[in-house]
Amino acid sequence: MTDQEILSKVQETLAGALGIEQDEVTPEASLTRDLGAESIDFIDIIFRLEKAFDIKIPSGELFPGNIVSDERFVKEGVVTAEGLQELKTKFPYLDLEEYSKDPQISKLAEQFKVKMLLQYLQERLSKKA
Amino acid sequence: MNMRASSGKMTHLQGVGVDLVGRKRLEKFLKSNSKSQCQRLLSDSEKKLWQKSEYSSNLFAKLFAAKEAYFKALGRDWLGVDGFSHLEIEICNKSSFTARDLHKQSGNQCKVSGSFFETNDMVGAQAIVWES
Repeated sequence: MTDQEILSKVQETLAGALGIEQDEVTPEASLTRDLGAESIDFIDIIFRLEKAFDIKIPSGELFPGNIVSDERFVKEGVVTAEGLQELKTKFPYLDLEEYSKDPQISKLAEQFKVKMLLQYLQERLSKKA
Repeated sequence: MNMRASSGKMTHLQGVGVDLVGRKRLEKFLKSNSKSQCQRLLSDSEKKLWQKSEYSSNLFAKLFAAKEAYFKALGRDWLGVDGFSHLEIEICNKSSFTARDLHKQSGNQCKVSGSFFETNDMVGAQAIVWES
């Protein structure tokens, strides 16, 4: 599958899940801040992506749920240095440069962009081929 | 913050969380995904409860909102699909619930006081979580 085909399918998937137009789904769009995704939407997105791409997305592989629940990585609402390193290691497609300057856990979800999904799927599908 | 609970024991307030789920949004989610997919968010006993309710969307909305309220109370939004199924909501009556982390032993459980609230459009839950 080409990168353009992956993008088209992701646009279709997110548009369906979030009730938005496909052309709003750009690689730089934040799922929460720009596309209005809420918690139920994240789950719906995972389920729909699994179906659209015929893959299983293990828990904690696409969105860093396991990290935010680890007390080593989050203290008093702030991601620790150890937590940032863990995020960078486990989620190389998550852009954390700006976020690292003020890593409030409440703002982590804003970093989840469409391009994060694209890069994740490109890697998964290349392994599957 | 330490407070004296009604039992007389000192407990530490961990946090308060509130979540709202739009009924239409939730119904759309349930229609778009299979029952087996949706059940990935539920513990074993919640699955049985949901089946017994003939897969009531209202019940699912309550369970979902309650779990989200708990996560927010602990400042841990978004724990992923597994995080949902590892938290078991125990509905006490129409308007209240407690919760149990299935990964923790009974002696280490937080005390959870939860309540539901509903409108025509939304289902909501509030969770007050105490560390005993």
